[in-house]
Amino acid sequence: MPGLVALVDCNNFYASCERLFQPELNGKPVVVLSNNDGCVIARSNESKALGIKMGDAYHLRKREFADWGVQVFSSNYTLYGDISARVMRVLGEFTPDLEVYSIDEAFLGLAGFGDPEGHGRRLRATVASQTGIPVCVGIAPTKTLAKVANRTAKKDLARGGVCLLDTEEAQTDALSKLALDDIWGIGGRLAPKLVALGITTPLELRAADPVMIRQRFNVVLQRTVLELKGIACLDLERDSPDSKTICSARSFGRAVERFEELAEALTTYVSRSAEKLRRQGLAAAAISVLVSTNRHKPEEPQFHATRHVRLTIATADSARLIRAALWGLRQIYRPGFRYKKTGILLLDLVPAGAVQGSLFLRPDDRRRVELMLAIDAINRRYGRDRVRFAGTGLERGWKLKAEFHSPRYTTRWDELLRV
Amino acid sequence: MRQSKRTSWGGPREGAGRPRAEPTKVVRLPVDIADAARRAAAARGGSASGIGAFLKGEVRTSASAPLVTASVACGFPSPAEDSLERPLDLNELHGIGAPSVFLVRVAGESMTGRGLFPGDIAVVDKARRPRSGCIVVACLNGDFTMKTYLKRGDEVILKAENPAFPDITVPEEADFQVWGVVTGSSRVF
Repeated sequence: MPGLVALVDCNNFYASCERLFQPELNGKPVVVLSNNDGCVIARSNESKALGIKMGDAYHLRKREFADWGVQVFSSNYTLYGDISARVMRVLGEFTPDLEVYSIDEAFLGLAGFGDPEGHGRRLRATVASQTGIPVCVGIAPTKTLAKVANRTAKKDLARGGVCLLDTEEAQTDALSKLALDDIWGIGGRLAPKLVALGITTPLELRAADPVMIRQRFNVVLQRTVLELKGIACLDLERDSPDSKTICSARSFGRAVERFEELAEALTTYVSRSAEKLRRQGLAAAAISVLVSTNRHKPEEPQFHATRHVRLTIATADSARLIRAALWGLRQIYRPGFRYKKTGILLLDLVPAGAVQGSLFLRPDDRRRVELMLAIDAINRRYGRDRVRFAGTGLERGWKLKAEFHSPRYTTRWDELLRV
Repeated sequence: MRQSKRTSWGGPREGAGRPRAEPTKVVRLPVDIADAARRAAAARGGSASGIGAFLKGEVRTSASAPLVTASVACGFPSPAEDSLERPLDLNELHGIGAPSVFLVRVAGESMTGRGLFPGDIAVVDKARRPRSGCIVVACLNGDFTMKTYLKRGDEVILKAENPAFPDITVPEEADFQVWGVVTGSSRVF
């Protein structure tokens, strides 16, 4: 018998994390802003009821938010990451069959469990009592339907946060209440193409001929159709595979014109990415560097460029990566533009231990490797950026705006909750 | 190095000077580092002038002790071999690392009677249900407070452990919730 799959999704996760340590926020509208305090990326139910949308630009709605008493937060990923890890640990105690899908969602295999609905309720209650984070649980025969079930659990409050869709009738009922682009994997671009074929609802998509879908679209969409029919095509991915690329790109707090400032920011991002690279035991053989101006200000001259830099041999040494990235930046930098963003992408990742040397090229020197490990260890222990390359700058005037940052309650001694 | 003059007398004598051991090299260290090295060497039982003991030390942020070691290359096996245990770990004592355990800092003086002073770190378990008499972190009308939790029939009393602070009887209509139970505390002098 094929097992059921549960999708556990934290409700308004970022807002819930903020509320955990500031109970006075209960019942008040809360929003969390993206990096650089740009736009709304998370809302409490009260904020949703006010009509605040995901992606709303904060600077355009500042006045309204203030009038409504909306509590505004900069994103505090340090806190969200720690709370997420706690939630996932609780879920991991229920089953080894766990796929952490994102910071606030996980799929759980329920094969072998009787009473799936009761199990879902226990999951929900345990996560709430251990971490204080409210979650909803959707249970169905496939991952795509589990997503549908989770959505239904969130919308239909009478269900008490758990929704089991194990029969076709239940699935039909749930799908009939959704729009096409509510279905997992049906993005904004795909939906109009489906509509052109006469497929306008999730139920029509489920009824579509999978072979035709494969021919007209691709195997990914075919799998979605099969999954809607209750045929499991997507397994749980237990171990997250090593990254294929590592990316670090941010907008600046203000427009940046000088090369030196761009270089500082880029050096910071490379350092950050190199740390991630080493944490996964990888080395990169190529870097892509990008710069761009503010596309939301069409009145200013626009410039976007990327430059691909091949390294002679894969490396995990921050210094070598920084040198390569700055070389790339020098190639594409043009003075006279007001830059809003820069970033890098580390590519061609290979296990650091398997880098092949040749007559002229050597993998990273052992002493450099140890130096990098020492830097990482110091920074892990004493806080990010405690030891860093001087090229990352001292003043960092370009740094992100984060005016409404809450304390990192769970990871910093000097930011603990005070009672 | 000064070159010695060629004379028929003087010069190196057999067996003179420092006994040969491993090859050495003269280096310059800033005075404060050299002093620190000397102190560290002395503390490790090396001679204060030989800073080898200092430099040979490995820098580690953490180390783990094996529970059991099997092979011993030479000499007598340690008689403690079968009795090795993990070093004591305060995290384990307090359950820190469990998803439900949080640390908070004591801010007020209302709990001094039970040994919780301002600046102390309190260990709070969110998952533990409060029982009458235990110390809790509670949320009363949106504010955090740390008090002794007393249950008298249907009534909940938050008792301060310092005569200067009043007890609070939680009104029925209040927005009240026990956030977690205090299971321990820690203080650095």
